[in-house]
Amino acid sequence: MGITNRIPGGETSANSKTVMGIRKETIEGILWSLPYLAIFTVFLVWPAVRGLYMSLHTYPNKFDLSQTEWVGLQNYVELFQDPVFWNAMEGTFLFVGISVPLLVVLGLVMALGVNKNVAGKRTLRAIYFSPYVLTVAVVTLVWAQMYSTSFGLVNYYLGFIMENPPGWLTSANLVMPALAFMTVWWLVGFNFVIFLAARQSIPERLYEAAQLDGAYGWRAFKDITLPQMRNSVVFVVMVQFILQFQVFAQPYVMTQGGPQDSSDTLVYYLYRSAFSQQQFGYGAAMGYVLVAILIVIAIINFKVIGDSND
Amino acid sequence: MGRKNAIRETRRKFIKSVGVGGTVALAGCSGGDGGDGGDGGDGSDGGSTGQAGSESYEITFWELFSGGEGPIMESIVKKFNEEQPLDTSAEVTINRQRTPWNEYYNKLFTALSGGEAPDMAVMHGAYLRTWAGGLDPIGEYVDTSSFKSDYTQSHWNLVTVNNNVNALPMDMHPIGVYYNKDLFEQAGLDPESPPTNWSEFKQAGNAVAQNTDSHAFTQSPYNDGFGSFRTWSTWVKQQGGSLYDEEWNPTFDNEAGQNIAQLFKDMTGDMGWAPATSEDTWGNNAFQNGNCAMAMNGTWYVAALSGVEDLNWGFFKPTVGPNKQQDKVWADGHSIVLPKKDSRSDAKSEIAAQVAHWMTTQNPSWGAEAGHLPAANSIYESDAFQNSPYYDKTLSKYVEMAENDKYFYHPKVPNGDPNAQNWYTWLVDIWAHNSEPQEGIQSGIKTVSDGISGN
Repeated sequence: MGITNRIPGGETSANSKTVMGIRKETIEGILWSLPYLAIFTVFLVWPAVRGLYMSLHTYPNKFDLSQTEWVGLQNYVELFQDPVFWNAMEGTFLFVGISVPLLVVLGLVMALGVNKNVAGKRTLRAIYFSPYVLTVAVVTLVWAQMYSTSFGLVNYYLGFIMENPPGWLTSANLVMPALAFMTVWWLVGFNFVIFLAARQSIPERLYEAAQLDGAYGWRAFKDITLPQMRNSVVFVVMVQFILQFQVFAQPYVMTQGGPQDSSDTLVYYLYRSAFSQQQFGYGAAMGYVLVAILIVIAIINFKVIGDSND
Repeated sequence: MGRKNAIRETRRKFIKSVGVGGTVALAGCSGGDGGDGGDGGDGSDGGSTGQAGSESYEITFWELFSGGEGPIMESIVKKFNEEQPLDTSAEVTINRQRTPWNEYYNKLFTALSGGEAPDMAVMHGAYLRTWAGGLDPIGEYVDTSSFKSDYTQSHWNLVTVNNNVNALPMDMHPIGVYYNKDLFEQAGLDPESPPTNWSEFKQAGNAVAQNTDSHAFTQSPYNDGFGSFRTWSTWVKQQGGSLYDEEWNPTFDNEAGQNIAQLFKDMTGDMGWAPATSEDTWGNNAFQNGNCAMAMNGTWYVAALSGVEDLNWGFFKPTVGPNKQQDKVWADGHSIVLPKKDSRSDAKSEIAAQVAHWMTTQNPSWGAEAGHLPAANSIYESDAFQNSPYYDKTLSKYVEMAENDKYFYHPKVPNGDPNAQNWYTWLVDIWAHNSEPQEGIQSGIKTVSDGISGN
């Protein structure tokens, strides 16, 4: 097809027929995209537009969402004056600040380790990836038991090396690190797989050439591995920021935001506002603040790590 | 709209004159042709179908029962579908859907605001004011005044909001103290003479704390905010403290509120009755494993305890708070409501109301097996209720408290979610020594008043 199109006057060839002045190829392309575009529109574009509309309104009758009242930016103004919101924001940033670096660095270390010719690397690959197949409900319920102060596995083993192991989910200082650590255990396998695939696609000749120039170890990692894996690093970092900023099920199932609201998060507060307090406008405004945060982080991410077209 | 109201008004008068049988007959008549103010069942919501004289109705019914209660509700629905007990020629089936209780109201609310509510739903009494705008008043379809005598006065009060009855009462589930007789004996107490006042209660708790390796008491087996509130508010009311003023501003930072908050802190502190923890499972595990002597919880706890082997448990009334001025005990109850749904015909609503009446009056198993206080007067005299395995242990004492008007209802707030855990987690924080009592109460006042005002 490509060759045909390059023939001078190819626009008259059989493969470049036009229908009502539009190239057949274009029409085919649109048709192939339609199923996805339809789903994308119904489940993403429309809710996003609707959410923006909701965030600018209140609902005087909570049982009849057809009655709306325009309030402009009032929901946003109230949100920024709401201490619960700021506390949830703090909790979310703490969670993201612990989980995302660990998820990226550990994933990378595990991938580079397995990429070496270590014994049992196939088994290791399966082991590293296996927690990722569990659902969040299973992970949170199991870890709630493991973290239990009185009979949990974690404190059982810690009991051998320390006098009074701490209450992981019952201490205001430890609860977020504990939730973040559990999340790293659960999700790091995904990053590991992405990084391993990226590492394996780096041609070995690059390393051989570098060795001839005397570049080993850290130097080879810095100048060959990392730049070659840049796309996957950008992808993993971005995906993890998006996912971890939406942390919800962990506090919802395990702590209900406690103790002392120290494990409250933005999405958990959004959920409570919209579905428990029936303030859809307020919840929608919070959703949009989250989107704004993620856009800023995406920009920073691309500025700092850059894309491959630099 | 005006015409619809006029028709309803006429129907109410008619219902009053012909009674229940007539109502169902009327429902059957008007259901077939959908000629009822233009909003007749169109089949899309499982409304009436078929020809006159052979109508069928599918009533969608949402409920939240799990644990021991779930299978009992399932059997009640099954019985209805098989026996077709309503006095009507129409075939009526209940399509039951269960949602776990912590998700239930959020889901119901979303369905309601999206116009897709079920025909019939279980609702706690505490929600009847905040949800009033989302409910079809049941009195629009059946003559509730003729039903009133079917229910006990306290249950009728439970579903009465601003002198209106928008729901039919199903049960009441107050709280009490469950205790471990073996641990009482170990502590040198008489297991057959449980505490009846504060000094005996305190003596019992201290004896367990001092003479055994076990904990003395849990304020809620699940160490949750709402469970803690049930216990705390019971003792606050016993001291004469109030929870809200007439404008629904929370007032529980009063002296009684502070005293009981301090008591919570002391129980897990100086008194040594329980560990200062916010861990959610410790109390239930400890009580069921025989490591905790007393647990304050609702009627529903019997279903969980009856499955625990080797647990020799008893029950006493929770009227054991310190400096008691009056006997008051927290209670709430389940009711059945008809959520608003434009696509439901009046005829179908009438059928749903009749189903709710049958469900709440003709099923002794709900009290006898699930352990709740049934709403219908007739059930109290029934053999099934009196022969319940829990009758002597718990039910008879709960009944006694009802007869002596000891219950106060979980506050029916005008807005927000009165059962939301986060309204009351400050109590767990006090219990676990994460907050000082005064600081905890102030944060509770703020959370609850924000929740009610919608901020």
